[in-house]
Amino acid sequence: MKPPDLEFREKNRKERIWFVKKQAEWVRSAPNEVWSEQQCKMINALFANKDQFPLTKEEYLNMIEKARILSMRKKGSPPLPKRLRRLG
Amino acid sequence: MTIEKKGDILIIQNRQLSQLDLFVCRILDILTDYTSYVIVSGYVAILFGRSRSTEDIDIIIPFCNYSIFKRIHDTFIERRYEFLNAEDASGLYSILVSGSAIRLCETNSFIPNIEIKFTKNESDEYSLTHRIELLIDGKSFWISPIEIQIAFKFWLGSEKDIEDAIFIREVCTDFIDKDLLREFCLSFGVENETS
Repeated sequence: MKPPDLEFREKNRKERIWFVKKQAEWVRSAPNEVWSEQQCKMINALFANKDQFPLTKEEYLNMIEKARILSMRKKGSPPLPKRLRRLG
Repeated sequence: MTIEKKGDILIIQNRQLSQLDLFVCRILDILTDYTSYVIVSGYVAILFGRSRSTEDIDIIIPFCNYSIFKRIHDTFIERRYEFLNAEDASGLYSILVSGSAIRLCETNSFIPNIEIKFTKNESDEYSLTHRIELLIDGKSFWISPIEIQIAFKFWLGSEKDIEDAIFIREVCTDFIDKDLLREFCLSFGVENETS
């Protein structure tokens, strides 16, 4: 399969960030009862199907491990600001 | 969204709790009998209203000795939870001590699950030591300080992480220490501004 070109990816990334900002703006402006009701409906709908997951436990853990290896996510920990180190 | 700040506590009233939130509450009710904890990563964004779900909730706990861990383990097993990693208490403890995470779920229902790990670096220690209490309709969620959470998500760098960071930053803008956020971003080598 041919991956999407860089221009398409960049456009898609910007659109997603725009959407996240719009969503945050809406959540900020809506009463807690309203935004949380909508969030609940969505999460509960996904939750209702949680037992339909088509993998075994072993397959699931294996998938997570592989996804982590392939992920672009950084691993480890970045350095804390100097003045905050070892304050714990 | 209305968030009140009373002292160091953030309070969100009248927020409906989802099945995911209730699952997390049930686990935390047990865990807090034995140890402190801090919630990090994606679930923090969800607590603040991000419209997404998650398969796993990341929790950091301080290092504890085996006998305390065994009590935690046994209590969860007695209450019909299980650990996804195919290990007994001793094996699970070894995983934690090695710096890896273990996964806890309701018996025969491995999504969602709680990913638990010991503090293993200064960022973890900072998050745990400076954790903040988020009170949602009387239920307590101890979360990572917002400033390090945002900077760390930017540092992780996946699309989902960056979107979570932006969301938390925008929603919590009234409570963020902007100088501290800038300091974390500088130290982590990440940009706080996104376009």
